Amino acid sequence: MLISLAAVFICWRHLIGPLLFIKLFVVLAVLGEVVAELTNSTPNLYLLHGYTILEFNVIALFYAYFFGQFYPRVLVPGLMVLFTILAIANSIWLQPLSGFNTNASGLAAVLIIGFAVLCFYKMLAELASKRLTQNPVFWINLGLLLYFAGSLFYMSLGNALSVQTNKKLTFMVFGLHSLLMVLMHILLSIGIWYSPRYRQIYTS
Amino acid sequence: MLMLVGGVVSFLMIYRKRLSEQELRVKEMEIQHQQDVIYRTLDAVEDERKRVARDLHDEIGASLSAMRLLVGQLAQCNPLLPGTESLINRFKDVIDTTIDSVRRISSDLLPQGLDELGLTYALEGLCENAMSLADVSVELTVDPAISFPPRDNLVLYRLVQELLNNAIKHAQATNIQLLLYTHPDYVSLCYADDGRGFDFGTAYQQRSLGLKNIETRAQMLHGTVSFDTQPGKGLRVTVHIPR
Repeated sequence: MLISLAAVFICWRHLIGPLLFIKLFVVLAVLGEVVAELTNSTPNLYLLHGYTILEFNVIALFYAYFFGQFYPRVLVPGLMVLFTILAIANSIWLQPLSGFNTNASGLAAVLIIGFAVLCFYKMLAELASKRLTQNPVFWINLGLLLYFAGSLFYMSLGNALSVQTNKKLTFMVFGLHSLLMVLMHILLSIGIWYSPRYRQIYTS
Repeated sequence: MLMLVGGVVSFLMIYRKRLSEQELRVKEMEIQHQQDVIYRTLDAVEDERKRVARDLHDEIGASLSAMRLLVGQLAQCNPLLPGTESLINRFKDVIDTTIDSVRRISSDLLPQGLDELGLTYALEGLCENAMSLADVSVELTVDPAISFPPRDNLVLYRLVQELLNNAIKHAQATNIQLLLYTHPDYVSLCYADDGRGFDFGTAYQQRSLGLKNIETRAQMLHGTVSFDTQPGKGLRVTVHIPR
């Protein structure tokens, strides 16, 4: 996370267009981590409920900006509104603020996986980059896809494990989560690192 | 996770493949565009040649004929001053030569009988013209089964014209053989002369206009051209045109 934060500060000027929301996402992730650390002496799971909504909306804005008019313009904003309503309803009636919001997180993961697939499809249809591996959006999208696909997997595994209360496996799941988090931030950092190139394309 | 990684690798491979296909399409379109430009330019050149040939024949030729008639009438006037008759005869000779020149230029500009009587007739005319201009013998053999669209006929005619011009102007050839025959898959034009020949590598590097013209016209027919020549050993040119 610190690597991607450093990359954000180094490439601050170059993070324009959809990358602006990645800047926001990294800052939000670091802030979330700091606040979670500061408040860990008391139950702070209620923060997760708010963070999930914010995180999803920031990532959705990144995709909305990148998709432009390639897909129907109301698709991403519509899903953002729908998700926010469902996540709030979930926190009020289904999963209280004192517990994990696996329903909202799961839905967010499914939607983001969908966005990532649509993003890959758009890239494939437009063939805008001659060198795809130097396109920041490719790395960022890859990072988000891997992280949220992995999250969905361990969330479903976590639900099963909570019933069995197998501590060893639970730690393994948390380890997997950390690994995915590290992987996502490394991929985001690569994407951010290539942002000056994207700026040239974006402004030309 | 492995599936995801596999999916991403596949995505990258498909992306590269599609990118290569797109680049290939763009290149093909560029080549097509260049070919269209060449076609249009040559069409414009042919139109202009037709116009000039028609103007030469209809206007200059008609004026010269009228002039010839008037000079003839002048000879009938009485009394003629001494030396006038020889002057009139010289006038007539000059006018006759000019009329011949105009006819020849007009005929060079416009392939005589190509549209009306076909490629074989036009090529025969071209060979006869070459033989009348220089001390050269041209042997022409054309497969009667050969048939091309009008534009291709014109391109082939110009190609042969270029070869004969080169043979007369530069190669100082005395014997020329021209053979046009059909294969099931392609049409072959074989040209051979006993002229001076040349060093092909040097001529090609210097982008000889004659060679370039022959190559361009062969490309316009979607064909291939090969040259076989050496200094002092004549020139052999083979053009393969797919059917």
